[in-house]
Amino acid sequence: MTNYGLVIDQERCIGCHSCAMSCKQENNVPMGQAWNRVLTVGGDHIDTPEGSYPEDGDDGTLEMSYQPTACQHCENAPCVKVCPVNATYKREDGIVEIDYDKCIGCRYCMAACPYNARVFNWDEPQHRPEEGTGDVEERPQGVVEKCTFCSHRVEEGLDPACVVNCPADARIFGDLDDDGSTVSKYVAEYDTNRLLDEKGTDPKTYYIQGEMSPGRPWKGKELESELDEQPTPEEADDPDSEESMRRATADAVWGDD
Amino acid sequence: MSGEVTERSATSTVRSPVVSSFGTVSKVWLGHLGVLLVAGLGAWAYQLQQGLVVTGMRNVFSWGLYIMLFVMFVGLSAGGLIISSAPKFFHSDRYEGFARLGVLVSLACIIVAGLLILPDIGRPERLYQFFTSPDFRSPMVWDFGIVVLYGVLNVWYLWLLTRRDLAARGSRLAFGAEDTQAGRERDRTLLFWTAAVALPTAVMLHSVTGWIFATQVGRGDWFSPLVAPVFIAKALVSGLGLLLVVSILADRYTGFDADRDELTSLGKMLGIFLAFHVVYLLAAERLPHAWADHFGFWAITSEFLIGDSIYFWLWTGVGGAVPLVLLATPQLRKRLSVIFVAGVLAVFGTLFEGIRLVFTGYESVNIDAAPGISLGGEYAGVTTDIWATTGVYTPTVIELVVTAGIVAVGALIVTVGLRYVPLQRQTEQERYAADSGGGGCD
Amino acid sequence: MTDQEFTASRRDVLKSGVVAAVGLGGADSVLSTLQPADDSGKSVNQVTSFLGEDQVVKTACSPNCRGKCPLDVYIRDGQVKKVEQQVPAATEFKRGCTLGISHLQRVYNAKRLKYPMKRASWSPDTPQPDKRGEDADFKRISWDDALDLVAEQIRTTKDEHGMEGIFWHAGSGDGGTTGFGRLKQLVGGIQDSFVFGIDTNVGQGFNRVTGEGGVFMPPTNTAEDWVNARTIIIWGSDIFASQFQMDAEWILEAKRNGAKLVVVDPMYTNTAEKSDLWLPIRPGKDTHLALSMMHYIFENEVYDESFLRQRTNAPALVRTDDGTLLDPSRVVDDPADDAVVVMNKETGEPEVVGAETGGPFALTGEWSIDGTTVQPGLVALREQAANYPPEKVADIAGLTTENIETAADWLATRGAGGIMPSYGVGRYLYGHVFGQAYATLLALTGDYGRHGNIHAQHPSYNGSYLQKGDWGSPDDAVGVETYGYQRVLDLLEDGGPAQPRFLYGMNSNMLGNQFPDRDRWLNAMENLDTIVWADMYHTPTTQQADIILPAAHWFETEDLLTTYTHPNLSYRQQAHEPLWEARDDYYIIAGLAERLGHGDKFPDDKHEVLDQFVQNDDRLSWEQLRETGTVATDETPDVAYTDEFGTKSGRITVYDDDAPTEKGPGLPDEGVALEVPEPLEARTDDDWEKQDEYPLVFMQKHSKWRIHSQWANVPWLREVNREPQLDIHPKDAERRGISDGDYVRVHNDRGSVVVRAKYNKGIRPGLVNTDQGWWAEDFVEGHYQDPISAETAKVGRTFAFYDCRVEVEPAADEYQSNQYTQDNPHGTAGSSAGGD
Repeated sequence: MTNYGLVIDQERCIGCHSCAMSCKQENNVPMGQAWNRVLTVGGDHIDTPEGSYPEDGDDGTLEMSYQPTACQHCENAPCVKVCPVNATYKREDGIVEIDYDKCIGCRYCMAACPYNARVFNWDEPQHRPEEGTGDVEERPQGVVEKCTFCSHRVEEGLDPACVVNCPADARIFGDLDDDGSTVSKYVAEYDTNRLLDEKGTDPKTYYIQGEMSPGRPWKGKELESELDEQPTPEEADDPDSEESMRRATADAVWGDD
Repeated sequence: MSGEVTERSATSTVRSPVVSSFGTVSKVWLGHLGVLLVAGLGAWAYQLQQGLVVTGMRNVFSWGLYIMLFVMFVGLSAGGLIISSAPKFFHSDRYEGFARLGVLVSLACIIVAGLLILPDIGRPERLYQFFTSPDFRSPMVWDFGIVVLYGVLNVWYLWLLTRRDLAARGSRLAFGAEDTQAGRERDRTLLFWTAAVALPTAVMLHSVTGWIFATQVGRGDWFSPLVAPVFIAKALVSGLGLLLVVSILADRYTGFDADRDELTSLGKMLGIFLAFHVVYLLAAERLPHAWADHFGFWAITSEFLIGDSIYFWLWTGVGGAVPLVLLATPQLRKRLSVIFVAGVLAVFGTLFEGIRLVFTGYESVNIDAAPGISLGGEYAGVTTDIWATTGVYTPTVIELVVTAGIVAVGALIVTVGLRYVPLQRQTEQERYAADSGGGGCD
Repeated sequence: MTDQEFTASRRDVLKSGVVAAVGLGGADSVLSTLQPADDSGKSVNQVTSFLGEDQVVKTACSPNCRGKCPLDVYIRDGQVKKVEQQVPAATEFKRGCTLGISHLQRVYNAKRLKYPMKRASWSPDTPQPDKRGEDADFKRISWDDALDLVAEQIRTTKDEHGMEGIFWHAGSGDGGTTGFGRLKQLVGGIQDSFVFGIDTNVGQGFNRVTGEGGVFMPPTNTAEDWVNARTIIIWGSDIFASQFQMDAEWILEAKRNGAKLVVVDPMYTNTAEKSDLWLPIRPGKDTHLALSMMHYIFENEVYDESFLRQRTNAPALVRTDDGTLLDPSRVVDDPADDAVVVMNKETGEPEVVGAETGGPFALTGEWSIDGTTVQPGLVALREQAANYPPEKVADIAGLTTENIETAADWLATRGAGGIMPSYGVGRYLYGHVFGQAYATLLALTGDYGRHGNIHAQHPSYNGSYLQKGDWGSPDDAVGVETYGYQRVLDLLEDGGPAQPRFLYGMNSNMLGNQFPDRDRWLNAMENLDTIVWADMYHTPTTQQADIILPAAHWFETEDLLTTYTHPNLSYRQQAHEPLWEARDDYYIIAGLAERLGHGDKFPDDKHEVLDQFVQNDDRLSWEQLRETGTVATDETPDVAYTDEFGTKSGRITVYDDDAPTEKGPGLPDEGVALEVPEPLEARTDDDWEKQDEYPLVFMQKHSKWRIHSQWANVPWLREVNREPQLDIHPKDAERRGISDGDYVRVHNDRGSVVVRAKYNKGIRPGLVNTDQGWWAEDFVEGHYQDPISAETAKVGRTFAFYDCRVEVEPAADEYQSNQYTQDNPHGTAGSSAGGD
């Protein structure tokens, strides 16, 4: 069975907000609302670090990283369990989605979500331009909405908009139930963590920290499962291998002396 | 005891409403309530038209005054029913004089609680989904069921308590019940069984309401097994507090006659509940956290003793310690005014407990990195600030007016009940001369 | 056809991105009713999708990040609905950034110009230039009237004031085909240009000693090769935020491949965050640092001797008496033009050698040749570097000795590497010396002509230029005289040597952005009788114009686009007609040309012009351009600098015998000669005369939210980046009684600007920053260009935006609540705990 998940390589993420902006655009997200946010783990403002500046002949302690954050599409999704009217539900392919025609707007799911991934249309949704953007119909006032993993794209064999538009190839989407998929391989091979893992929500968004992955190994907009052949990410050279050093030092185009 | 009742003639023991007719003051009172009700309806209509954007709630603080007061009124609805049904369950006539008024107050409170949900819903026209598409995993579905059951139970209970008297007075509210000796006998049995159902239902009501919060891993201290017991304790404190307050007011302003000894006794009981709630359960909740989070003795102690928000102090100090001291002091607790003040403070305190509970869930955000959470409020162009990293909430005038309107509904129910439901105490001689009714109300 | 078949074919179409065939016709109703169901039979498509109903148009972005990213534009109901990265012919260059994909809100933007307008108080006879300004009113006129007026003004100006009365100005706001250059060549007049003026420091310094490149960034290995770098030093550039983010993957890949990433920046930036080593340099100390790295390399003898001997003039003998190179004709008769004299260690005899010639040449020593004392050129460099030992520079530049040595060691010993500066360091007055310094440093380490070498932050693909024939220089051209931007202010102010009276401006929001000392410009422009400006938006600059011409958004035009940052040549297909009365700049120019008697040089249909470019070029065909949107035109070798250098000797002049003498503020009157890199500073110097009065250095870094001043009004972006802010270290702020979020006045004796303070622990104390590109109306008061001097140095000739000293104080109370602090009870505006 298919079970979609997302891997975000924080070592690759450059905090550019392309994922957040393409999400707003693709999903016709109202102004003032964000399904997908790029958080700066650091200081009080975006793009600022925490720690001390290396002023006095030391190295300081500044630290900062970027954490794109949207619905984590949890296996044990509290939002699904609390919804009194089955408006929030988990699809067969693992995507947590909202039936906007059913939602009564009680916002219990917002209370339940530890990630604050959900937003509520307090006001009449506003768009710029007014006619709206992207490929999804707008949601009415008075209902909760959130990231759908771009289910409308996934159903058509396309990767989510945030994945396709990441200039750092830092987002990889795919089937966690398929051991051969890139997401499964990265989850197995790299140090990944999940947000608020201790809460037991079993999220399906994995964050790579530590060693950088090769990122999304194909350039097209399609899902990995739609590719004719399996993408093969280039393995990083062993930086200290002889071959690696030789190529970098000796492979001069002009003659050596 | 039962023999005493049978010996009485039907007519002499038929109880009557404590308000025989609405006089000027009553009408002014009713008029005020009516104004509040109309204003509340108007505010709600405005809110329906504009959307919840006219409330102070936003994505980062998505439940506000409506839910805070829902929690409170669920608690308040406990007092009357428990005070009236607990003795009945044990075949005791103790506090019998408070039973009918208590159930009336309970009914009013649960109706207020239920109504408070309505304006909180984004799309109330879809509430039918509760019936067509319920998810039984949702504590809100459980709570919906238990609130409805509890409300129905209150109506039944109140009717059962009063239907023979109503019938004797020829009230249509008797719905065909007749005032017969046998009927009254049968009702006593029914009352026992009703009490047997009512007590666990009340326990469930408060537990389930607590579990709405206690099941949630995402909101700070909500996720705690203690929440349900705390809700029960809170219900006992606030429900009894409210019953005392209403009884004393009714005693003062209507024909209702509150037994002084029983009031004192109930006051003592309130003190015990307060001690259990504000001292014991709170300590039980705080100590493990304080102990685990800190190392030094004084650090643990101060973390344990010192609260973090104004709501905490309003609840534990004004609403906890003060009434507790009042009720624990033998010289004071016999005074009606002291019992009254203690009751008011207890209710006041639990109001802030509910506020504090909601605040602890929303104030701090699990993932609070900048820029934060989009607020989702009104969008006013490129200068709109749409982010927050902490929950901030202040109810708007709309919320206050809607809430006041709904609370007015509860007050109206009680007022109308005083006029039409026979709440009169059983025996004339137990009325105190000093507190003889008529205070201008009727 | 079953639903499955239909869905399958539709999916293929979607994947390939070529949906043009699926238009807005009847198939849509069928498509929109498709509701895939899962096994349970329950509809899973609760999210109502329009996917597949869009027409996909191939286009490309073209601001001055130079990325020219190919983009897919999705059109539905005649409207642009979204923009996505396009998969181009050279697929590995699928790219696009936050800005590129948010074009939709630039197309449909409240600031778009809708109609031609004329300043109400302007008329040909009474121009009243003093009535220009932020309050000037405009009234709508017809295109015919507008173009007639402009043509008439050009004619009368020429008649009354001569050719030099006509001033053609263009910025870097678009890379499309407009005919602007063609028309100005035909009409004549004067023009401004980037040589010199803006961002021309680092490149010219590098160019001076390598003979390569122009005034901007020099050539470098193409991006695919960067993965071979073992050390990458990103110097004074936040490339992951600005200009380069669409190419981030190349550097990330190099890092993953084992490259050490060093970032030199006084701010802890997006880019510093990714580094293995961050050098938090004090502003203006970059040349010091480069010299101290050279010192380390000399001391530890880790320089590339063979490279120095073969490809630099390090062995070239220099006369100690006058510092000139020993004349080869004193050693041999008729030496070649590129000959230099070297000392052969084996023979002990001087030898005359040409470019690209190595051998056992001495790099140290001193000899007397016919009574003239000579030393190898490297000696002077070595002596200069000796003045900057790492421990001393650590102190000067606010670094640690160890980190300086590590950076130098990595560059010198880890194999091929490179330095990627951008224009940042060039924004100090004497930034060109840094260009010389890093070119020299890379010569010491032999980092030219090898795989893995990097010399600039954007790669140089040379293949994708269009064959434009005589488009830019037509027959009958009368020509234009060119002035660098740095001279224009003088020109306007005092009319020497020419006094412009009429200005036609386009692709530029200079008055809102890149012209320092804004007030001087505004005053100087009063000497112009007529200012005509074509733009997409009502910018602070068009507000200062007399006739405003609404230009089409890029997506509303057809065009062909080329770039050197990737090998794809892009076709820009028109997404829809220009909104309102906006016009493609080409048709504006063509309309003017017609009125000025050059109509025959501008075809009525722009497509004819483009068609000529396509016909000129064997690589291009309309079929391919229309179908795929791009043509891959990579004809450039991976590795740059494989041939002899463009200097006279064909060698990198690590000793520049022909060096200029720089003069300017903070320097001795006689100037400073620059045979070897000499750290020069103006206002960043600790001894700057007003350093006590204005202790803070004021920088305006380029952010991820704008390319210069473009994208400044995109609502999506403004949600995250709401208003101008001042990055200030909490220490500096607290000392001045400034709390996070307070409005502050940034000022010096030249001008001031009011912005909101943003505590940033990552900015060096003593330095403050406001991101560049905000429009005048975004500031509560003033503009960030107000405190910046327009003064340039004799050699540098480049505006020095960062060479600015200021003081910062809490702004007056009246500023503490303004348009940005609305009555939002939940907003972070009112709480210190808030976000950005």
